[in-house]
Amino acid sequence: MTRARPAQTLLAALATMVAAWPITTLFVGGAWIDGTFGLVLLGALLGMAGRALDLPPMLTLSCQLIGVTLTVVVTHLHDHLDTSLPSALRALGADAHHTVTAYAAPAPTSVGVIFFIELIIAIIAITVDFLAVTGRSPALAGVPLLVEFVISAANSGGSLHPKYSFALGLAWLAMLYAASERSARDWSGLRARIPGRPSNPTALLGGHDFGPLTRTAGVGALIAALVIAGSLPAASQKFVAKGLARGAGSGATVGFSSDLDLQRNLTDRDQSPVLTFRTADLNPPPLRALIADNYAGDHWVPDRPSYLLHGDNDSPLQRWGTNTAPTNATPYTITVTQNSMPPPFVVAPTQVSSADFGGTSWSYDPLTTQPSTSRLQEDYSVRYLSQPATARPTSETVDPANFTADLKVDSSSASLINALVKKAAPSGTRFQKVTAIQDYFRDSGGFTYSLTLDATRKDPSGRPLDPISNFLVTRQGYCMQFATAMVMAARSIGVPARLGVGFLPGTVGTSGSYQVHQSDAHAWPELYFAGMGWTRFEPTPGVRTGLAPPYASPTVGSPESSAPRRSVPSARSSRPSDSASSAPRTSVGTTSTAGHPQLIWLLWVLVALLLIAAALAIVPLLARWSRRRLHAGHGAGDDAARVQAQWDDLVSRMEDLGIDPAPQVSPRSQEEHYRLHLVVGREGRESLHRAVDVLERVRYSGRPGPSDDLSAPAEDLLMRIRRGRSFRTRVAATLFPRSGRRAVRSLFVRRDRD
Amino acid sequence: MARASATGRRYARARLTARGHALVAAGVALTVAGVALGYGDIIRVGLFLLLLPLLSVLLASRREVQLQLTRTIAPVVLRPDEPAPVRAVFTNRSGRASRFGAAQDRIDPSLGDRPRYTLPSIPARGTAVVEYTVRGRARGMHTLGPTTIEHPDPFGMCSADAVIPADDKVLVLPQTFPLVRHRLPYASGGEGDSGHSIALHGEQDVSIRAYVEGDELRRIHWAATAHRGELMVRHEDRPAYKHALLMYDARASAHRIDGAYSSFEWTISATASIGLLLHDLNYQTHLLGPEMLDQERYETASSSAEILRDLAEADECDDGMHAQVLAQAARTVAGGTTMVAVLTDRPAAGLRQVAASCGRGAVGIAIIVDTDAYQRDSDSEGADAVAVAREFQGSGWRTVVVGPRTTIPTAWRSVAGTAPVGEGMR
Repeated sequence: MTRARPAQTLLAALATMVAAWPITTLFVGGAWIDGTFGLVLLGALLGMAGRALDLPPMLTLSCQLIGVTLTVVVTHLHDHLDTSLPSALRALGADAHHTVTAYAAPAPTSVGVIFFIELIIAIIAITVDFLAVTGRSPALAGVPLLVEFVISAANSGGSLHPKYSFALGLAWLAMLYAASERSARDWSGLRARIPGRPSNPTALLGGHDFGPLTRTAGVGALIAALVIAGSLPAASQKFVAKGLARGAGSGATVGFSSDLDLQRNLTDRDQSPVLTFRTADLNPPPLRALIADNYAGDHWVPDRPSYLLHGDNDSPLQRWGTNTAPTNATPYTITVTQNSMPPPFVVAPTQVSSADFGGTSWSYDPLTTQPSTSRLQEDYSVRYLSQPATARPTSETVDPANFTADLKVDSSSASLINALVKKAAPSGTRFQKVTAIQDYFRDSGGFTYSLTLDATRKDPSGRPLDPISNFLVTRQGYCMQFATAMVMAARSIGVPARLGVGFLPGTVGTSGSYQVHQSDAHAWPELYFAGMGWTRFEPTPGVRTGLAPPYASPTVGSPESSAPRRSVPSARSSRPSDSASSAPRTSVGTTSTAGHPQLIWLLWVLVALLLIAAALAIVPLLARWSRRRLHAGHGAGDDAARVQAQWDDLVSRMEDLGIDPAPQVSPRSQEEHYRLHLVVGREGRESLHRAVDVLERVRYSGRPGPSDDLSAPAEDLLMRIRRGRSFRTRVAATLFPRSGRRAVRSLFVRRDRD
Repeated sequence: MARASATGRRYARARLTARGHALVAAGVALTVAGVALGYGDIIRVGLFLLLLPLLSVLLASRREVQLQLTRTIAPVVLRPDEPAPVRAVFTNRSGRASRFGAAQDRIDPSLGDRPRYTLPSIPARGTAVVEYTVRGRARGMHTLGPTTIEHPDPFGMCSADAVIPADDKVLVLPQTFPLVRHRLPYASGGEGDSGHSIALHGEQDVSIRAYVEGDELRRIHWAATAHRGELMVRHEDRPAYKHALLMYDARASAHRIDGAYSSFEWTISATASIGLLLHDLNYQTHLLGPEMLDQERYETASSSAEILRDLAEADECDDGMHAQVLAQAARTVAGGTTMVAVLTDRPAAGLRQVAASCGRGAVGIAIIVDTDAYQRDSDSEGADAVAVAREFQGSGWRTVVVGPRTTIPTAWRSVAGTAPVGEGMR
């Protein structure tokens, strides 16, 4: 049983699961956890079995890989274990790819995502098991663990909570500790005992007590690292951000402007949050600051409130005219704890039912229920109505007389809008049509979210296209373009529509509160349906906005509806960690405005270089390791054995340099052989002779002493040989030494003893 | 029983292991990359990898604990292959607990594998005890110690070595074989197993016995007579001890000491076996080897235990020393002495005189080790050995030539006399 090393195996499996912990921040729900855990356990058990049976390491590894892969395939694709398997795999791949590229974290856990998470983590677990337990290099096993952790960290947007790094560090330390225990046990079964004390009082893993050093050094380093890192990033991130900000040309903080030039807000890199709020709503809606009904050909004109009613804290707001409340809705509250929106602007969700601004006097427009204040109120709470996935309009028709401004289409882009509607939503009710249009923008229409707009195209007559048409032609833009186009599309099929402007809910901080930054600025269409009132739709792709509102999602009732949105990384360039979350996952290039792709590429290049370096280092390291084993095998310390080991070392290093070892054994005949095969000049031959002389003396004189040492002549000889060899041979000797390749081969043969 | 005690030096400065170095490098790289890219998580990991080895080495260097080691070995004189239990007691003399250590006693390879054991953390002023057994496989004075202790850190980041320079010695006696108890031949012929003496001074037998008729009156010991109230006489007969001189060729130049058979070890083992037999046959045995020239120790007869101890520590010598041994042998042998020489086939200055000394009435038995056959690893007798044997035979010695595969009892049986010596003959 000790040969199987169950304790180390389970620790390796545990460490893999701990490294996978941050993945919970990437996907909604934990549907993948059970399966992954089972597979990791399966890999560990197979590894233990292989070791218990003393199989060659590579055979054990193969068994683990095959066993785990088969299990994943059979559990997920048991209906496709025939010729349809490749296509089923492709479908899973496409599904995973779609989920990963279409959504910001946390994304829904689709079947494909679960499949690939399970497979990848299981493979990492096997790698960790192979390195740490079979290969006895727990330190090296940190590399796959780090890769697993960094993938999660890079994709999660922002820094992870320190608990993840802390847990992983602890798990890795436990692996190192277990290996140290093991090597202490391998050192000797004989153990000095302390009189009057049971033989094994405080050992953690049934082995040895390393004393308080364990806690002090291990946990101390962990905590110190977390504390120091906690004090570092502010400065460092600012540095990166400043560099980028200069490139973008907008360094100064820009307040929220009512001219609806959202791009300025979107590219803003100010790190201080505009707003911090908490809510029990798992899927908080965007926060609206103002509304626009009138599109003036190339820009929106914000509405001025026509009426302002004085607001009473916590009493229901009046609704006038078309501002009807949804019939099927759940009330939620957001509590703003920090607010820096310049008055009179106050952000609040679309369907406000009541509000509490403390001592500050406030008012609201009964036509929109949009509150406003006269002076800045730092903290306030707003109660709002959130419509569930099942919300549907009670009637498809509205009276156009009530919505003249909200049904006015932009004439210059009307033809393209009509064509789009015809293509995206050829049939169905109006609600189905607008949902289809929304999905067309988000997903199937081939639109790309980008903060930079493509160059303005020209129409057949040579005139520059209007902004909406240009967007529909170039299919590239940010929320403002998407929202405007959708408003026009909705209006063209008779659905009243207007533009809401405000902020996405931002990012969830460690304390569970949301932080909204300038760069979270957002615009969206609000469409009127009877029974639903003014209802938000979300045509901007998921990479920026996360999931569509539940009632407008094609998969009604799916877990996606509870997924909070994440702001798009490229817009939040001052937080470089965001950038990695989107870049590898979006097929669309996030733009040069942000300047992040280069950094992301740098990261990937770095990772690739590290991997290449690690791969290149393996063979020479193995060579060195086998040489050291040679020393140990001779029971170093005994002078004769030491010199013999030095000689064997010299022979194997000469072999690395392409000089075959002598077939004969006696020192003199070996010297003759090497004299014949070496071109090293007189000094080299002298070194060879000196080395052989020492070897001979030690072998035959019987009383070797510590002064017998052939390392100096051996080094001299090797230096001379190396000088005489071609560059290629030297590189090959360094990178792929024969002794290393032999050591690699030896991995494939059965060990003599465990 | 031997006790030795020594105090360990304070810990050597802890060094980073290869893993520690690698982690420092990885930590620096990751921290720099993390800072450059603004990844908080990478910075955390990098700092952790950087701090762990540094903190470990710092904590390991801080500790200065003095361990005292006392070893008890009983017995210290071992017959070949006899086990000797060793009890090592480590005492922590400092005011704080020592660290876990992997210890190894350096012992002579012929005592077996180096004892390895793990040393738990010893509390302040506490002790730890470890017991193991060594087994003497080759004769000689062997050393146990010093003890090296490696203090690894629990994560393999650094390691500190300490050495406790406590040395203990055990003596392993040479291998001996029971030899056939033949009456030894004697050259002067005929008088039976009468006592012989060699010309050594300092021996006076002055026993006193009761007067019997016929004793000379001048032999009456008056003082004893007065004391006892009856006539007592001095018993001044020549002592009836038989003397034997036992010598061997210890030249390094003559012997083949490597390989499966060592002619020198054979020589020592044969000398020791013969020494025991001579002692058993009531011979006053004088061992003559290079070490015995010192302070003329060969002049006094040695007990069997002394012979074994001397031979246990016997070492090879140079040719000049051997010439002195031979010269002394030739001088010492007088009429009637039995001389047993274990020689080699290599010519030596003075060998002829030793051969000739037998003519003066001494009895000579020469065992000639054919080192040439040792080198050739064959059983056929070499010309040199045969020549030496001829020369000794010519002077009246009984000789035998032995090769690498001749056992000592066989050699002795062929060279010693034919009639077994019964117990009654003593």
